[in-house]
Amino acid sequence: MIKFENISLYRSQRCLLKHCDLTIEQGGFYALTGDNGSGKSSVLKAVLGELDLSSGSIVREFSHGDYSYLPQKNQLDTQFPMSVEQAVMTGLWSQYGAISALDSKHFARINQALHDVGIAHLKRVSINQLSGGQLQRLLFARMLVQDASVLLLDEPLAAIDQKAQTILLDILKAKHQQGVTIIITLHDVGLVKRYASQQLHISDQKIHLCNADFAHSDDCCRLPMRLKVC
Amino acid sequence: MIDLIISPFVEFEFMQRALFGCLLLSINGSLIGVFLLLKRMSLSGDAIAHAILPGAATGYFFAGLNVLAMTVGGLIAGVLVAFLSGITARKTNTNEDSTLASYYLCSLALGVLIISMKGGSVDLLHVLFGSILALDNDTLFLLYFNSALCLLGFCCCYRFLVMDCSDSVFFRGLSKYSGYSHYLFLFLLVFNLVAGFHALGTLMAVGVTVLPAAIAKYWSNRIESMLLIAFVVAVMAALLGLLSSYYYRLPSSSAIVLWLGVFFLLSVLLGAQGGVLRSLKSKAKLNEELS
Repeated sequence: MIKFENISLYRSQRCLLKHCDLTIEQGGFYALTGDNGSGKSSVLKAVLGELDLSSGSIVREFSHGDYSYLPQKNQLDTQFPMSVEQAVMTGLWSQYGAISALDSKHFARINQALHDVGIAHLKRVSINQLSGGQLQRLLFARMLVQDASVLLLDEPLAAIDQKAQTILLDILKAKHQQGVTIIITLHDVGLVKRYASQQLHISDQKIHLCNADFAHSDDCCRLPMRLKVC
Repeated sequence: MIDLIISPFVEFEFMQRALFGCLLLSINGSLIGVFLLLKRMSLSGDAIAHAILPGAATGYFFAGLNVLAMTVGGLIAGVLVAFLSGITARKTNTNEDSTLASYYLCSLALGVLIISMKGGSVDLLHVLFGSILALDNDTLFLLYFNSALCLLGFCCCYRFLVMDCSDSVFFRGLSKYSGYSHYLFLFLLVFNLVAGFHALGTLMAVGVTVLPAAIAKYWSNRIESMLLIAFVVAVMAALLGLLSSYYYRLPSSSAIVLWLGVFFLLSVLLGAQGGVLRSLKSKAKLNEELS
């Protein structure tokens, strides 16, 4: 569970959130929506503890290493001399750490993750040879091998085609059914309705929690059946 | 031919010492250089090499050409400049390259000032260009110690460094110790440059660190092979540089770095990974296929 207690958030002297309370339940599939610049990425970073809050606090019932974060801007250095398999392997850090050797189970998980995201054939290819969409699939595979209990994804579908979007969102759906908490920023209302169970919509410096079945890009707050949290 | 290569090292102890010192420097240089390159910090390495000068000069000011005093001084100055530039950049929201450039220039000027207050131009030349052909036991011991420390550091932190270089944001989410690997790396870099400057001088020490890695990048796209190539190239350049210096009376450190420069130019032309000729060949093949 993640609990926002009266939080206010400022970035570059601009107020993004003002005195918000919110509870994100374990095992939920939350779609985070809002206009550009409304503060979606900042909310995810605040959940991670990477941003200082102006007021209030966030209670996290998960520890360092229990979550996996896919940022909006890919930070993986694509010029780094490593193969796709090696890049996915870095997701297993919490299991093999600085010294332990990887065993066949680890490699089987890497292979399975690459297969799930549809780039198993690129296993030995250098990461600098991947297209934007293939790179995004690689990052998904790296996230999958982590086996984290909370997944935070910041606009992960921006660079990929529709077919790949469906594949990746289906994977997230399967993870959700296994009890993993997912918070994903999305712009497509159709995808929100199809995949998410709850919508977190940011507008007017507030986060509004509503049932994803009634999701709407801008008018969530005006929908009659929404549950306004703050 | 083989006799020409081997005889100087068999006949003269100073040549054996020089070769051994270069071998030790090549081990560290290739390890640190490859990660400097991958962190896109090659020029930062150059700046820190200059920044150690006032510390070494202060050691020299008080104790003359004493290895320990100059090493401790150089270490303090290098670590101080690296730390100050990092903290200033973070606190003032500035890029680290500009703060590092500012601190190292001040540091270099201060170093030259201290040296000129105490000694003549010959001493300055010793600090700037080293004395690989006159390695004494103290300096060789320092190079030994530096290699052992560096190898130990890399054995313990190799994966930390790979993770930090490839995706530092992701690594921060995985390990709360992720930030320490960068500082350990900076310390090893400073220590390597301080040890290197006794042998090759401050100006050339960075050459044997950065150039082998830059060459290796043209030949491989796997980190393990880059490390191996960088080491082999550094050893070859050291051997050729020392022999050129012996037969043609050239300054040794310059000769070593110039041989590295020759390898670099050859790699730019012929390199398997993005070399000019390779790119032209691929382009021609593509045009042929299209037509």
